[in-house]
Amino acid sequence: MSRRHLLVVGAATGAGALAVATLALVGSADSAARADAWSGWTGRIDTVTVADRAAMTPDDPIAVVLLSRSAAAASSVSYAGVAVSWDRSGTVSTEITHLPGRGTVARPVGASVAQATFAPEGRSGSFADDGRPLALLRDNYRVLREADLDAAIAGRMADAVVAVDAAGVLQARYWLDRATGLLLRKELLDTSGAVRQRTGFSTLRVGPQPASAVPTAVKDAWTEPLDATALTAARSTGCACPDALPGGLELLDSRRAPAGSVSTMPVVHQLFSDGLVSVSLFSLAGSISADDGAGLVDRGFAREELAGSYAWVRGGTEASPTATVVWTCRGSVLTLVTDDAVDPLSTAAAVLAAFPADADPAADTFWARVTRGWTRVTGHAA
Amino acid sequence: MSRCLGSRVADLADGRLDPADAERAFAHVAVCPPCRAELDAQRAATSQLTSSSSVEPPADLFQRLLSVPSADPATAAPVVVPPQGGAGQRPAGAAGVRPSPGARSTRPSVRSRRGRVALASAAGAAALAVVAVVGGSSALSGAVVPRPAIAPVVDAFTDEHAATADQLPFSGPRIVTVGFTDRAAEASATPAP
Repeated sequence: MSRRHLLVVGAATGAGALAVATLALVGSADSAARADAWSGWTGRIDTVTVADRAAMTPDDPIAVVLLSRSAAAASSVSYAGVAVSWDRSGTVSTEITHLPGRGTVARPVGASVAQATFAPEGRSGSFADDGRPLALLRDNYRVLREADLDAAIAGRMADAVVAVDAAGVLQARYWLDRATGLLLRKELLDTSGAVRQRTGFSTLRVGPQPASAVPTAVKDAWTEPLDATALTAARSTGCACPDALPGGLELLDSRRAPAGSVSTMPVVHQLFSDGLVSVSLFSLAGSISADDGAGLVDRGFAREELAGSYAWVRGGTEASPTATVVWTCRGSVLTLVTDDAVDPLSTAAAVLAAFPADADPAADTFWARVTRGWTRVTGHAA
Repeated sequence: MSRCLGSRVADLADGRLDPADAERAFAHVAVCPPCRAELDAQRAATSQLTSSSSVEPPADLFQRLLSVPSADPATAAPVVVPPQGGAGQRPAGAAGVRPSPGARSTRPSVRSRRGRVALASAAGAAALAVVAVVGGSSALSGAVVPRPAIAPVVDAFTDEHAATADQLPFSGPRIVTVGFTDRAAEASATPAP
């Protein structure tokens, strides 16, 4: 090979490699993980409410009074009983003891004391005053009194109230204790009008409960309520922390588990609701490693496409309605949990559309980058 | 002595010769210093290419690429020789006679040709090093991205959702059956003494 050929080949190789590197740079994923990717973000996204509020007829005032009374009952009435929860995945019976101002102890019937869980009162309160959940329900649905549905539940007479959406489709039925206002039964309906989820008491004792039935202190990782200012600060540490989610889901509670409690990183939990269904979004700075992927598979997750993004998905089906969806967005690992949405995966897809998943590292190969770069530079697919 | 290997030295370095040809080629290299030097240079270039992740792209990479001589010797720009210890360093032990300064011959020496090949190869290696840098998104960000374990905590998230959502008015006890037994030991309900 002549000297000239060698030089030409060598130079061409170098220049070609440089060109390929340039294409790879141009085609690199948009979402390079950055711990401070959410810094400066306001937390506001475009939300689409379920209901056309202007088109809705006024709520039934009697239904509003009954629901207002019920919302206040939990903070003033002691009770103990057995609650039965049913959905298409099965039935769970739970012994429940509630002391106002302290919290609620729940234990599956037949389970040991060690399996009891305790939710201290006020866990849903950092962004919700007493009337906020009812206001959300009234914003997104119309509430009506349905006296024809009044019934005896757990041996107690209950008043029935229903919620219908803007299209007039029945979405939920509530039975409220006539004596105390406690919610005795709740039914959520699917689009065909069939019951998809039912929770209610099979037995109920209203009145003072022994103080020893409820712990006075617990090991609770989620100890730090976050207000709007704290959420802004959390965004600067790599957490998404939106103020609202698509579908009229508004922020009701936001709190943080410090590093070393739930995870090695601080985790922010935000609870959103439209008054009827609830969605939790957990956010922590970081990324999903290959080991995490294997661990998620072991826990029943599968990699699925939602709204054009790939995420780890578990449940959300008729047989397993509780949906848990995990993905990374701009350097945050986001986990969405919902167990009462009409279509949990559609709800998750709407959130994913607002917070698109970062490019899959497995798909972000060298040649994938070069191909993207070629397409961006030339406007034509490689 | 048999004929020099010529362009087949690259095949020898890359292991593309069949065993019989390779044996004959190695026998020749053993007695032919120019071919041995060429083989060493090829191997060094290959090694630099395969270990490009450890090569830092020179700041003057682009200038050096532009300075590679064109096909017309009359317009050829002077070759910038890489500094000692750089990506274009000649392999240790390679034979050659350093020309005196300013004594550039119109007929390039074997060493000069090898140096230019090494330079071009080094430029390619450096460019590939750029690719390697580009290929690491975390490196691109310039930040060390923490990797907290995610999988072990997702069930704790499900519990936390149930505990919090349960307290909403018009809510109700959740069905939380996923891994309940396993998680019971880690349940948050621990009465104070």
